[in-house]
Amino acid sequence: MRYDQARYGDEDRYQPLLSEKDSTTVDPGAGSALPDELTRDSLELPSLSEPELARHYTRLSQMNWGVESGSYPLGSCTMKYNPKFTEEVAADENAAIHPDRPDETSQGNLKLRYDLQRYLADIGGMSEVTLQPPAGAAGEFTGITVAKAYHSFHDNDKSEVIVPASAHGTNFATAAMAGYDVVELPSGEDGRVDFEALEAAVSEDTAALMLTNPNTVGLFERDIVDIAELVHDAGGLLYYDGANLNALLGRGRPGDMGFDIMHYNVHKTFATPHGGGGPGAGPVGVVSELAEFLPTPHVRARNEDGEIITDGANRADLTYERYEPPESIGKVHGFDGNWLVLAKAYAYIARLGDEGLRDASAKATLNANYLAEQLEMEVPYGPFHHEFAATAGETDAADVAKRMLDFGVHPPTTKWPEFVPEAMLTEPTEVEGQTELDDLAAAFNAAVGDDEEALAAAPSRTAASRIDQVSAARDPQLSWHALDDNVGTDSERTAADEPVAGDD
Amino acid sequence: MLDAVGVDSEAELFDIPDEVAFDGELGIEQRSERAVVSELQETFAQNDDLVEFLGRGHYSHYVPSLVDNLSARSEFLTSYTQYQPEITQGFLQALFEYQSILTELTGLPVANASMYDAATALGEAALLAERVRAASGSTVLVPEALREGKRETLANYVDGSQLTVETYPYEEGTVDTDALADAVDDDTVLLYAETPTVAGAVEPALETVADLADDTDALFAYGSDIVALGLLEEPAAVGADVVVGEAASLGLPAADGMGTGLFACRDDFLRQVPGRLVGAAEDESSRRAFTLTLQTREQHIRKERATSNICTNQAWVALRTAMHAATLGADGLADLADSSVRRAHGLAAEIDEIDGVAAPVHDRHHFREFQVSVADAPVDASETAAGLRDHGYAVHTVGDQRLQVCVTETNEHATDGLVAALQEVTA
Repeated sequence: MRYDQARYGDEDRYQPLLSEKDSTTVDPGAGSALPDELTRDSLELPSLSEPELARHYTRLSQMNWGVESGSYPLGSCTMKYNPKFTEEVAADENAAIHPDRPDETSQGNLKLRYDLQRYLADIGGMSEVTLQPPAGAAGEFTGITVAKAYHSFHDNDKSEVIVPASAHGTNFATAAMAGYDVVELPSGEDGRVDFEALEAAVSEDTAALMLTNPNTVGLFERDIVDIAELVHDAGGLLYYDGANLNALLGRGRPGDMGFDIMHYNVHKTFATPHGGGGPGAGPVGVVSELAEFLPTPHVRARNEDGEIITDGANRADLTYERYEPPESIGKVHGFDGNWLVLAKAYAYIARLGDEGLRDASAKATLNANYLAEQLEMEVPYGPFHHEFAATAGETDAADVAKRMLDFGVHPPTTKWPEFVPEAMLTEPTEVEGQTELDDLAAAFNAAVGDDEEALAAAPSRTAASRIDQVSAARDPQLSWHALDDNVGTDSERTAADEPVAGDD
Repeated sequence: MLDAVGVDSEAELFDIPDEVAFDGELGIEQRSERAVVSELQETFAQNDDLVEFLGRGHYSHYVPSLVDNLSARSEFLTSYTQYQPEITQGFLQALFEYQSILTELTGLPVANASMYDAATALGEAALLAERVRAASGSTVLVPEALREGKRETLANYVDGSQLTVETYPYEEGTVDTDALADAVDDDTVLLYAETPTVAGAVEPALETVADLADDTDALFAYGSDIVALGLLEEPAAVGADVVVGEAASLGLPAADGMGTGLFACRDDFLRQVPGRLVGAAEDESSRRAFTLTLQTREQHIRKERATSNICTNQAWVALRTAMHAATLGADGLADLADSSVRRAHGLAAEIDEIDGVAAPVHDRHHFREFQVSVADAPVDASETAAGLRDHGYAVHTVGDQRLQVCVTETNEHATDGLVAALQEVTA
């Protein structure tokens, strides 16, 4: 497909910064109700009329790429179409409330929270779900903190979390942040967990094994029952990273596979917009033995007789209340998480229902398999589900990705996972039709077959041409003030930043 | 497509062993778009229709229409992290502008592209302090009057580190500097103070706090919110090493607790900053462009040695925050901040006229909110709040004898009604 992105600007720069249009400096302290010693005496901010601002942001949006611009097959990111009506639902003025209202005055929002807790619990095969974590990585941190509280409660002396080499970077960082030693597990020859290596790694020190299933090249961990038994026998817990849950919707539930804790990436699986990098939401589900450790507050429901109803999604006769689980880890967010995102996720799940959810995993998996068939590239391992890692072979995957930009598609995640050489991790999701998949395949094939010169010159049809990320990191300029000052920190040189992706 | 893949049905593609495959019903009924929309309208209508005078860390300001309209453009809303900067210059520039606005407001040269909220930003500040001040101790000092969400989130963030959290007392609603001087010692690695405080008081002793931190080589973490920063003395000027707080007071209306974490710090901590940073760069055509930078700090490269596990942040809210700030401009933001002081002072004075009711409790300047004592009224705080709810108003209760009231341009129209109701309820 022929494509040219909008490109505003002149010979030196693209769209001018707000500060380069016009600025005003005021003295906020002058005439203030506060005494002089408490106030600042200068504040300089851009000064633009509303039409100028509208044009500024419209132009910036035209120099950006979203799911509605075209294919966006970032592997492990699940870039689905975000249904419009969910925005309308979340913007309901009646839902725009403060979290400190008493429960009896917030029954509407509490009902949605409770119903979403139940939907997610059923989808994951879990007992209870907290909605508080504001992103996938925050969900991981919450889940591992719950595991830590569980072990501490039972006087289990645990010091290690096992993470496969193919896992998202967040898994490693989360385990370390929670104070655990990270044990990295090499990938097996078939791209899955190497069971013998796992047997060697699991010990009485194992607090948890963090697994993504299907894993980050789309492979289902066939030994999952044995893996769960091995970890459980050592007194460890099995953690499910929900990044790839889209492949399992209605067809497999982490709880049924022996997982004890899981997070859901609602901005992936449940189609809430990725927003240029967030906000997301990372609800965490747990089996019943761990429910007492969940963050506070948790939402529960009672019937007219005052009895607690543990499975009462979508009932009209219940009242809802917040409470603190008996051994709660406390809070992981200042309030109760990213409300707007949660409301959109509920609307999406309700619209799809059982049938739509099963349809989503079916189409996502068919699309990935169809696309892989059309590629003139090696796709190692299999059978894969909703995503696959093609290899660019001798060619630099980053170059292929840059060239793909010229064909009106967003490239996949590149150079990750690391055990696939020059990986191009591709997840088309269920939203693409056959024509779009054919166009996407054509872009892959044209790019990977291009000569070195063409690859090095790419991209040429995007707003900016190839950006020098190495120099940017060497001399960081992080604000318009820094551009004015042009103060570099040459003494602090760093290794080149690799353009890769991994997400939670 | 099935033919091309060589299967008769999608089900054949799934490699899930029978023993763990799910073939049951989830029991979630599929509904039409219209049905979901009306179901949720009915659900949300079950929230009581109250005028909220609520704050304590989550604020409601009027969000200009431009923000809703332009942030909803799908090129922004449906994009993701800018791993391919050439095709995502627009969002990168908007985040660079967000960082720049925070740099202006804090006076600190480094601001990241957002954290989840004020509480998690505080947790990250503590972990930053441990990294850059590891040799000088392990105690984080925070005020005793800290919102529980911040205290508990901080406790979870430091639980895996060597840090411990201790508190210091307030007097008259702000830092008790003598007690703080006693609390600070060689083991202090981070000293956190807020302005405005959780009770809305403007902190007068920030320079003393900064000096105490400096004396023991601890970091001074300054907590605030983006509107207040438009008026209060610049954090860098009073000695802040890190600024954390709420940024979504501009950009988001009341959203049941959803926010965005503001995080800024000194230049020498650049390589230890958590989260994403957008920097200026050059492209092949020698034009200035933007890119995510210093990514070697981040989890997707550094894994367990990353400065934080954060990946997805609050980018879209940060975009809205920048739009809102740009719409206001320097004049507008300074006005909004100053009116937050005037409205609080004005409403407190009116409430103070009521027999048996005193406001503000603290003899301090206030920003947006203040506490009210009903100690001399015949009803306690929860009875008063319940009575106000019957009149259609929501306020906080703080202990048995105090309320807390927050006033902005979004509820100012109802202050007369609130005062009248309060008079009636406490009579």
